[in-house]
Amino acid sequence: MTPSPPWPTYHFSKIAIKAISDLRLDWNNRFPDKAAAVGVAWGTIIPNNAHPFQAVVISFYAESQMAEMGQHVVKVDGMDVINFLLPKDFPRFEGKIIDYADNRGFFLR
Amino acid sequence: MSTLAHDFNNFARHFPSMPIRWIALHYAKRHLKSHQRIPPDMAFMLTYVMWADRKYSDSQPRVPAGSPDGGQWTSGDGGGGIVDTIGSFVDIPLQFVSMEWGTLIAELRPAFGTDTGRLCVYQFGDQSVIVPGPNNFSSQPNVTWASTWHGQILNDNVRRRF
Repeated sequence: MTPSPPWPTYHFSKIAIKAISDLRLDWNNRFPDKAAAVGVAWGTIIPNNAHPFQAVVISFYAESQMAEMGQHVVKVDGMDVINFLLPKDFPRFEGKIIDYADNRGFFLR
Repeated sequence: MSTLAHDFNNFARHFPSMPIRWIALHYAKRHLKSHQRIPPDMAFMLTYVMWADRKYSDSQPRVPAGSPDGGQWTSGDGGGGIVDTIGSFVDIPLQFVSMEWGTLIAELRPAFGTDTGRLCVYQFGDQSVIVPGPNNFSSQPNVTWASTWHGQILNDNVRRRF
């Protein structure tokens, strides 16, 4: 499947950018393959004892993956981002802001 | 009640099985990353939390589920427990961010010729995160638990949607 360009247009809040920066530091402290581009996805969370729900999932592509992934990088608010999204989820992100709160995680508004 | 005590109350209520020392260490780690040092008042708070954690142990009874104070530590005699005690000492904001990372355990690829993407499954202990994505490039090897808090409240060992 080829991603359907153009990717949805969205932005990050300043708080979300700071949270991503914190997560990048934590990733780099934990994993030898350093964080490179930010991965943005829409995931389904399945708790062990409650109903599933969906949310923005933020992660990183590691430096070793960038040779393969470089062509998929887009710039969003100055950050290298790789959208790991299906076309059916594009409307969720189009025109939205990815924000962050400590008691909510990342969310769209 | 101080902001710190209020946040401790909330966190203790949401994670009734989590040791208070874990919360304190987590907070210190986060603060160090942002500010490079721990100010004296926070160092005092953390020291006090460590001391109080020995007094209010993990096996100490909590306020029962269903109560507005559910999950808080209690002395069992109606006292305020660790949270109120801390609140009498300090009044600084407390923030939490999870640093747990889920690991990719499976990639479920659709049959050839379909256009539904694939499913990447990440495992967080007893919970899973499933991320659908394109077939023609790699998925992330790990995702963060911090990204999965949205849409739920945590209370009395039960995770609920809102």
